[in-house]
Amino acid sequence: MANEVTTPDEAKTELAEPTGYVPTPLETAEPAEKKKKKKGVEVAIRISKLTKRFGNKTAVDGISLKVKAGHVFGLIGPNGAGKTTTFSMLAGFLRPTEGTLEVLGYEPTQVDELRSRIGVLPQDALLPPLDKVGEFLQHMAQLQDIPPDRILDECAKVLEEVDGKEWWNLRCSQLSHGMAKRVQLAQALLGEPEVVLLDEPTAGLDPRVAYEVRQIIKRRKGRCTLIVSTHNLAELEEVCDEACILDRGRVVASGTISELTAASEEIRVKLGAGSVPLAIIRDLPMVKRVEFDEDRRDLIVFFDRGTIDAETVIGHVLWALLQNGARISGVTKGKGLEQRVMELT
Amino acid sequence: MNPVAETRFILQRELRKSFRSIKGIILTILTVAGGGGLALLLAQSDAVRQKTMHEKDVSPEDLLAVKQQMFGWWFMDKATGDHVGHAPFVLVFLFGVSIVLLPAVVLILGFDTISAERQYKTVRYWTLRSRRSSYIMGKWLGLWSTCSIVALGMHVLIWLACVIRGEAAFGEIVSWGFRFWLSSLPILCVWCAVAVFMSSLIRVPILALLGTAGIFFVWWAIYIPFWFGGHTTNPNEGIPDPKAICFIFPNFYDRFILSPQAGPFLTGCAVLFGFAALLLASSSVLFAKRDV
Repeated sequence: MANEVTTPDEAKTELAEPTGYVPTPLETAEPAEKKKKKKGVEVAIRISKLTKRFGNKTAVDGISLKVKAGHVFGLIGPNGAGKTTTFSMLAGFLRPTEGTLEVLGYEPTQVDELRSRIGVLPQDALLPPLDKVGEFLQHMAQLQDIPPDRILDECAKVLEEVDGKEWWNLRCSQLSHGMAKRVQLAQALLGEPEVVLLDEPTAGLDPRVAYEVRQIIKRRKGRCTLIVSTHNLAELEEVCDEACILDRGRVVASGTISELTAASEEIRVKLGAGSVPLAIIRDLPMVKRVEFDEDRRDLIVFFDRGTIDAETVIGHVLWALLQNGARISGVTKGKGLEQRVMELT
Repeated sequence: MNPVAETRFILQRELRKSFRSIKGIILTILTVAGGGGLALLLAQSDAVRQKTMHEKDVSPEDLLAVKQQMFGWWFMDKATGDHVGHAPFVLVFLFGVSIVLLPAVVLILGFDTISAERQYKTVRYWTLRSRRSSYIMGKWLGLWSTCSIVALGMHVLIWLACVIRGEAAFGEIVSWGFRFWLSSLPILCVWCAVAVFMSSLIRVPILALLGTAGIFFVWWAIYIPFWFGGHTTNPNEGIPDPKAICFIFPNFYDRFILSPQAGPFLTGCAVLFGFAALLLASSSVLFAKRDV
């Protein structure tokens, strides 16, 4: 059958009912108002003793978590840690073997209550190959109960957000991996959902596309609750407020990024060749303990959390080092998420 | 959003998808052309038969009586035979061909309707936005509608051929033809429900194909000998009537659907739609419990 080329604007004239009606800003904030919202939902996601078993294998083993509304939460862990299984249960794709979970106060399988309030980028769900990108998004928007007169605008908007304005008439089977990932992201962002689950949003993407996807996620920060799972720990560190580290189906650490990386209790200074004035650093009043790794040339300075901030400590330590002729290659607050994950998993 | 609206959106997409896919287009062409060709061959043989009867000076009344007797035997029901005997022979044959041929179309169009989307997890985009029961209903309605449209295409082609050949009056052809097409739909809905049930149950499309084909084959394999048995067994011999087994087969209800009496017609419809509803309810319950 021939490919008919339709632009979003042309399609709009076909789909939208001929009306001069212009919705007010309050009305355009719909469909959120229409939903049976539970009042005072401060915790967007609540997981309690969640377990998922596949036969004898326990993929998720009694995890409990809370994610506050409006936060960006990272799920971290090696392959097989249970991140995707937890995601799939949050999205209602998998049913828990034990335990409970709530998204905006509802079970994830309560489709009608959560319609248009939750958006999901599944890790490995292929797009329907025969559908054109535009009609796929329109169909998703219809099922999300977005008013007919807003469907095309919404679809065009999210497609533009992922930099895919020209893909409207492309079949999903014609998309490259990076393009498909961005269309998947577009459907997850459709209709301004309150909770967005992103499972490995940059997996398999080249650095440029991965960067663009990260920018899209960053732009969403503050507009919704975001749950992100990724192997790129630097990117998580950059965008997340909180995170939890999973290993073999269990939570091995959780908290704010600062807590996880110990950014408020240690600094690391990378030093070049030459002498290191360890005694002078140790004598600094705010310093609790000092470690030096000769091979890596890493100086780790520990200080009392709460009594002084990391920036002040950095100033004092660098001044002391420079005064004593040390050569500085770099400075970081905390140990870095990557190292923390390596220690725990 | 209510389940009806969800189902409607999914149905609309299914129809668009079916008639856009290479598989759908080829099957439509093959079904319409194949079924049409077969019926035209019969029309040709019917013309020869009519010519022979004309030479032997067989009156229309005698012909009607023969047809009524033959259809009464075929349908194992005198009332249905008498009624259908009035229809143009080609259209009755077309009806028979369509309900035999269409399960194959259902099989090929329907085996991967859900299984492929489950295998590649595409189904996740839908389960997030629609009730799983609506998804099943939409898929079933989509398959049923597609197959019904394919069947209608085949029927219309034959109606045209009949009109051109002057088999009967235009009104008679269209009214009987339309009725035969409508009568095939309840039967078709059961075959579609079986295909959707199997497709929702089995994640791997090739296994869904084999499973559905297996059920269809076993159904036919049971039905045919028992249908013959029903014709050859003497009720006075004291052995159970083999015809009873035929009631498990959807196509056997053609005699009920075509009956001129309201009772059998409604019974046939109730059994067929009831069976389809049972299968769809089972599919929905099982699918709702499954991980996708």
